[in-house]
Amino acid sequence: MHEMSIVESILGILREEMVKYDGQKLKKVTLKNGRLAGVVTESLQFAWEALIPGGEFDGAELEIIEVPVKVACGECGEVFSPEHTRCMPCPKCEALLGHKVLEGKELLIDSIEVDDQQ
Amino acid sequence: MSKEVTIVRNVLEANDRLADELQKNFRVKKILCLNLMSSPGAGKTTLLERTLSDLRDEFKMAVIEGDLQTDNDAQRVAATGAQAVQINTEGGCHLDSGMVMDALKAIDTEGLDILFVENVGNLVCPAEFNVGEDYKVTLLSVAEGDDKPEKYPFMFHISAVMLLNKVDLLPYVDFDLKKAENHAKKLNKDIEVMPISARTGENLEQWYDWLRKKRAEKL
Ligand SMILES: [Zn+2]
Repeated sequence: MHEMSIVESILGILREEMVKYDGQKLKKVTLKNGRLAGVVTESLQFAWEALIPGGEFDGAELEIIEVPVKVACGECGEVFSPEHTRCMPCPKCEALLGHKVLEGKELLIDSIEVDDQQ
Repeated sequence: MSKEVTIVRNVLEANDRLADELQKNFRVKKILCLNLMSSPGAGKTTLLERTLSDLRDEFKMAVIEGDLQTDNDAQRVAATGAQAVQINTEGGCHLDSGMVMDALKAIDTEGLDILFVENVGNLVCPAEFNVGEDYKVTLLSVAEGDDKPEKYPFMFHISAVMLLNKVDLLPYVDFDLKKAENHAKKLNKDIEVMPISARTGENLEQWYDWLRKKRAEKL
C-alpha cells in the first residue's frame, strides 16, 4: 500500500548518504522495522525489488530486521513485550492504558554497506 | 573492498507521517475531523445518528466507521442521509491513518464540513494512534461508572471533549457527575465536559455549539 512511497523516502536518504562515498557502490542497506511502524516487511522488500533494478542502486540488497514491541506499563512501570501489538495488557498489573512505547515504533535505516568498485 | 557504515536515519514515523498528510488535506479542504472514541456500548452510534439528523441542514457530514460490533451501525448512520464508510479492522482494536486514508477514497470530500471517525469501541489503543483528526472526543456513558477517567487516564488526557452520555439513566445508576468531571479535569485541565443524553436529546445543544465553533475556526 504505502510501501512504495516508503521505499522512495529510503532512496532519498540513500542518495544523500552516498554523496559521502563518491565513486563507490551501494552494496547493502540494513533497515530496522518496528512492529508498530505499520510497514509490512514483505511489501517493502517487494517494492524495493521493483524499484531498484536499472537505477543507481542496481544490485543493492535490502535487509530488514523486524524489531519487536517493548513498552513500559503506564501504571506500574513494568517493561514488557506484548503478545499483540494492538491490545497490551500489563503482565504484572493488567493495566491496559498509558503504556509508553520504548521500542517498536521505529522505521530506521540502520547501516549501509558500500563497495569500492574501481 | 567493502565497508559497513552505521548511519541510523529515521525513514519516517509511518503513522504520524500519514496523519500529517491527512491533516494537511483537511486543512486545505476546511474539513473539521473528529476522532470519536468510547467503550463498546457507550452510545457513539446513537450520538452520531442524532447529530447527523439534527445538523443535516447546517453541515455536510460524513462518517468513517471503525466499530464492527454490529453490521447495522453503518446502515443506521447512512439512514440519516450522511455518507458512511465502514472499515474492516480485521480484529484490530483501533484505527490508524492508513485505514482512514483508504476509507477516504470512498467519500466525496467536496464541500464536506465535518468528518467523524468513529473509532473502534475500546478506551485503550485508539488513544495511541492519530488519524489526522483536529480533536479527539471521548464518549463515556454514566452506566459505566465514574471511575473511568481514573482507570483510563491517557484517553482523557488527550481528548478535547468528554461527553457523559445517558444522563437520563442517572437516577438508576451510581454515577457521580462531579467526581467524573473532576477526575477528567485533573488529567486535562482544558477538557470540556458535557453531560448529554443522545437518546432523549438532553443538552445536545451544548455539543452542537461546540461543533459549530470548531468548524468555524477551520474556515
Ligand atoms: Zn503494570
